[in-house]
Amino acid sequence: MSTIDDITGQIAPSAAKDQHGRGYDGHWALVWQKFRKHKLGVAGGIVVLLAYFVALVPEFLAPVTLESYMPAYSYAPPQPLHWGRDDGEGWRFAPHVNAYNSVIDYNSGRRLFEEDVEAPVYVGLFVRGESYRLLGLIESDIHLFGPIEAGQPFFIAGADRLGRDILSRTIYGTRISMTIGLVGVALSLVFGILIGGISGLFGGVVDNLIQRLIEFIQSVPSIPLWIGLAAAIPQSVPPLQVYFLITIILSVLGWTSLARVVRGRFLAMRNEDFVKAARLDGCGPVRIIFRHMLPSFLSHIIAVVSLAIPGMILAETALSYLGIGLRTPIVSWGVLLQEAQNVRTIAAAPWLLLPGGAVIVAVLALNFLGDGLRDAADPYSD
Amino acid sequence: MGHFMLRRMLYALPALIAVSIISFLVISIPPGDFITRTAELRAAQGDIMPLAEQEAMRRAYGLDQPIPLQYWNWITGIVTRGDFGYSFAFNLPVKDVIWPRMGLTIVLSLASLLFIWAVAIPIGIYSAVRRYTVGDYVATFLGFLGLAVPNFLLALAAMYIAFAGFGLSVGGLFSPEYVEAPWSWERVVDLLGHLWLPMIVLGTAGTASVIRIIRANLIDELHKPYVTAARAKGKGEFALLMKYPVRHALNPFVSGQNDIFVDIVSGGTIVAIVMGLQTTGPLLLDALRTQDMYMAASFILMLSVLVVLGTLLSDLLLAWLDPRIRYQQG
Amino acid sequence: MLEGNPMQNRVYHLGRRMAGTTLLLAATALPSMAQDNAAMCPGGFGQAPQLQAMVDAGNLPPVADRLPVEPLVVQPADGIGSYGGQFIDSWGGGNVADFRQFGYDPLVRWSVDGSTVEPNIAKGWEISEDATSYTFFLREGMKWSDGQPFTADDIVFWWERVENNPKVMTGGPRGEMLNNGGKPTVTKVDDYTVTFTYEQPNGLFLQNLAGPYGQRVVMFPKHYMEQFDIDLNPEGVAEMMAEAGATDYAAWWKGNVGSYGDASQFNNPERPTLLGWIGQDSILGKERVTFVRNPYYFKVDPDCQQLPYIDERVWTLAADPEVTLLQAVQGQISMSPRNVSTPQNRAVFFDNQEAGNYHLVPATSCDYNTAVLGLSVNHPDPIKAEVFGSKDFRAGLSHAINRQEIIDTVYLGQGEPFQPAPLPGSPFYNEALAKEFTEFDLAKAAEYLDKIVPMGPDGVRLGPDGKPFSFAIDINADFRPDTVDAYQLIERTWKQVGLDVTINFHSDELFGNARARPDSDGAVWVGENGCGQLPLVNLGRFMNDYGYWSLGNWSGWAAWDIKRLNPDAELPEGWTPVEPPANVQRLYELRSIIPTTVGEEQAALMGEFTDLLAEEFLTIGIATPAGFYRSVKNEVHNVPESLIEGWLYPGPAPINFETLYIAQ
Repeated sequence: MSTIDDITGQIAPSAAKDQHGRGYDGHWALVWQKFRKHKLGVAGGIVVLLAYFVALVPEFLAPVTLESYMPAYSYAPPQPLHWGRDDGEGWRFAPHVNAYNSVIDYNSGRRLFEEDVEAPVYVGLFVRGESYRLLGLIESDIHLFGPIEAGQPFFIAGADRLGRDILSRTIYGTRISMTIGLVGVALSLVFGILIGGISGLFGGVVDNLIQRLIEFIQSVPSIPLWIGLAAAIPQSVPPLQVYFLITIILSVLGWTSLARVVRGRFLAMRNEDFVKAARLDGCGPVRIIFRHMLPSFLSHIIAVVSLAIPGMILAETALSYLGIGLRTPIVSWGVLLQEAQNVRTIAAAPWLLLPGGAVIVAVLALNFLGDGLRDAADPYSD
Repeated sequence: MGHFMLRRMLYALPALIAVSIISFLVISIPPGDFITRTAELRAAQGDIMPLAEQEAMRRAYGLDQPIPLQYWNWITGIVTRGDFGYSFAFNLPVKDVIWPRMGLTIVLSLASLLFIWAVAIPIGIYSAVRRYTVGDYVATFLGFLGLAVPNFLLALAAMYIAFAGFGLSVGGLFSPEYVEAPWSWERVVDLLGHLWLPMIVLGTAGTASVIRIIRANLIDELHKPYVTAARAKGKGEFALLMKYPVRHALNPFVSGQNDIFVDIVSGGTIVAIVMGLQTTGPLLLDALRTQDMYMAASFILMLSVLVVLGTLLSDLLLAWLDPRIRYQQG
Repeated sequence: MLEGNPMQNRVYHLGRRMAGTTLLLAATALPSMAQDNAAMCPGGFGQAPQLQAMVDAGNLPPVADRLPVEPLVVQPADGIGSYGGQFIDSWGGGNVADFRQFGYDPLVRWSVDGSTVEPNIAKGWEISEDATSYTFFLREGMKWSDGQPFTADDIVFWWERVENNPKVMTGGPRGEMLNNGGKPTVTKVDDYTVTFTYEQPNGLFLQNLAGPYGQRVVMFPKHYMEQFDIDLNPEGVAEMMAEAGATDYAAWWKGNVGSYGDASQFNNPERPTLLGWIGQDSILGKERVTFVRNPYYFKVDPDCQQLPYIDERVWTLAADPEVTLLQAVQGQISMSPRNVSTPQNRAVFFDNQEAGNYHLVPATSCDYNTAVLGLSVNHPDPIKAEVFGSKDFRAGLSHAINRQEIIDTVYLGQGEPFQPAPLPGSPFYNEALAKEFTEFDLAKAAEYLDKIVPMGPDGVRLGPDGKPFSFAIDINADFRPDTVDAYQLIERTWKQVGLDVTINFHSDELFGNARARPDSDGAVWVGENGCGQLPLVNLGRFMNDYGYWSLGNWSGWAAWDIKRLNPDAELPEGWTPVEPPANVQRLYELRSIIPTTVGEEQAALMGEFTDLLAEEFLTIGIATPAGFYRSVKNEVHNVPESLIEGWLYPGPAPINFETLYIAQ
């Protein structure tokens, strides 16, 4: 009970003033103040929020849906955007791209594209295109931007092998890449703190058993486990859920390194006076861990978590690289990069690396956010 | 301290036995066996392997026996004869496959580890002490950039740039003429000429997390009263930093490094695959994917031993950094 | 020079590519009268300078003594070459197929253009009138690479002590050597004559001998291999096994002696061979291996110079295909390996030609289709079995594939819409079979589909039970990326005709498991061995009954056929016989009969076979494979203008690597 009271007490904006009339704020207000000072952290936070917004409504943000193919635009380079057009009566503002004419040049192994200035594709904001269900509920056909006349070629970031819009696919990929690891990280965090905490707090036989358990779990190789689990899960389960299930199973095994860190800290801390006092007061281990000891090194945990989420994003791309992660037709950054991870792409179609840019931005932003949070979590310093 | 070590080692024994069983079991989870995988790989080349031949191979390799029996034969071989079994894929005893690659793997891993520490620890300390300066931002940004770029992409790009931009020979750690040559001074020079690229690729990903942890821990320490006290006593800033805060800041870092040996042996697998390095990581992955089971199981067992050793080492380091732990456990 | 050469008649059909006209293999290729090789080359033989030096130093017999009395004269593709140089290849590790272009020297061989079988180690052969007995004439004076004579005894040794030795071939002789299940008797007539006699006529023996596994016949030197035979040398073998820590003889033999298909065949540099180059060291676990010229190689060029021209063949181990690709475009590899020489990589190869100092040599493929879909006609769910067993359903699916779009997008516009059928140019080409239902026409597709899966109210088709009908196709996403792309495009057009289809893209590890499930709806694989005469030795593939490798669940029909041939035969687990339709029954009969026929009769039955296939339309294809090539370094000469890729024709091994030479 008291925990909840304490927290609400902390969150409530306190208007108390000291005798000099200076306002002093509650804990979380201080945290916020501190966080605002961390410029990179704030920037990271904004980008992360944006990314999750993209993950929420990719259907609206992407010019076309995932079902859109234009095979004649296979490996089409990005179409340059022109702001205006001289249609004989003088230049007027009319943002457009030009459709491509293409021929297959077998000898050089590629399609050759040429802008067709006679075939402008006018683009605009809030255009009508393919219909979709926003958030799975609201039927709509409004896209933030795209060709004014639906169905015309619009590849502002280029096209992939099958003539699909890279930009749209990257936008759609955000949803899975930004969310797939969250549950796993949360589970690892809870297990790690709890088990590591118990281990560090009690020491002795309990510690020993837990440490051996950790050693044991860490030695179980994850890749064969991954392959094995993927094969063991029934075929009727859709591939996305298979992946999700495996991330959860692996996170049940993935708490170990955090647990060891927590334990190291607890071993060092358990003889500190405030811990002794809490124990003498009759507090249970869970309360001691979460209420008393944890806050004293929250910063380290935040640092670990803020690395774990981008770690999951990177792990998803790495598993896709090895061919044992997500697969077509699921669209995630890892899957998109898997299609691009070859010399042919780097040499002749570098625009396919756009999802790699998305990964970099997201991982950087999450890290900066974590960095800022870490510094802010300890608002009394400085 | 000796007593402490001995006890820790004794405790590790049951874990190792459990690990040997589990590693064998895990390898048996995926459907099929080495023979079915071989048949599939051959089919991909056009060569459909008759069922009779598959059965014959299975019998010859003892893969028709029940898993517990296979395990027993394998583990008794290791314990009684130091025989880790046979790699079906290489047609060689497992040890003959793994050991020749071990040396290069260790060289590469240590090189990249040193690279990481040499770059990351000073930067971490700098950005903790000079928090929120331009230098901190730049250092942090560069460190994170290394972390944020997916490893395989970096490796592929680095290789392509080395190829297209500089015309360097790519793939592997040696020039063709030195691949199977005996060790000589020229061969070492040749190795160094190839080592730096994978070292940097492997290192870039590692630096960010080290910078991050050092910085975070050091900031925690810098606000402890003893630091203020020491500063009040007029101790020089550098000496002050090195005396306690840095040492303390390394504590959680060290306890997180227990898998450092595992990293050395199996880390960087993806980079090794992309860059065509003949280290142990790709070997393990191949063994797993082709279900070359004695090879994979022995490999995993070795990794587990290394995990246990790494844990032991990090416990000992921890005990050295913080004597209280030693006394409590001792 | 060539005109004056008495061996000119040995040069078969060069330059004729996949000619469809040679229906009949020469029933008799009688050798010319045995004569002294000195008479053939009065000016004597040329040899490599290294060998000349060894002869001069007295370490090697003179070249005329090393060559057989009648060496095989090989006509180079462009011209006479010069000795020297290295040829560098890349290989993926243990798989034989990666390594197969190293050597191709069977008893009889495919011609370079793949149209006929030619003499090779055998200088000729004679087939009995009824095609039950095959007599091969070996070359007098021919020697293994250690200088010991190669005779009929070596072939008899292979047959008795290897192929029929249950201790090493625990599963019995390989199928290539059998005829409708029957073993031949192998008899030595004299040192240079050996006869294979079958109970039934064997119409496919020469083609089987010319295939990759045919090379097993001539890779066991009796005088050397006896020491590895546990019955002939029990103590010695026990000692060797103890040294290797081996407990099982068959496993030890496979890993240390080995036959075609095992990397271990090249592991012992001491082992005598008939191939053009011999190992220097064991190859297992090596990253780079070198083979040097075999001083006893039995072929010469038209100028009487002993082959091979090239001093060394070097193999570098490549792990990742992208690394191999970069090495190839950097000019580190003499000929790019198959796995990277894809239409998808053509742009990279094209752009780096000058820098890498290589050029692209076009290659045709012996694959008869880029992707073959087989549906589970024996699906455990009777509704699905009924639908998949319906020709209307398959025809509907086929009409709803936009093949030209796939060809333009995925295959750079190369190839033509095609069903699983013998390729154009093959004597067995059947246009009705190849082209039926290939037109992209959604209306026609709907018409066919309506007959078996009528359109339901929600725009999704209904099964015969009136419930919505859905199915899934299993694809190996790691095998050929073009299949993945093609089926993503196909999924689109299938959905347009109201089919509820899911395409499951599996990783390599999981695909084998997925397709082997009895309730797999269908699977996709490339169609192999469809050029020239190869369909003849590949009948099962065309009717999608290839034992465990059939696409989709075909077990009921396969089990029916097993029982038809032998009512007492044991069936694989889970197989229950299902009687196929009359036409399919006849196809099964033909599959058994055709191999035991020759000549006109065989041709007529093949005609019936392909007509029935066309009528039944069992599997669905996309296009003829096209757009293949290999990069070849500019310094390498005598590579034909165009290559052939394949397995039973083990391209490009038969291009006579011994005639390639290196010159700037």
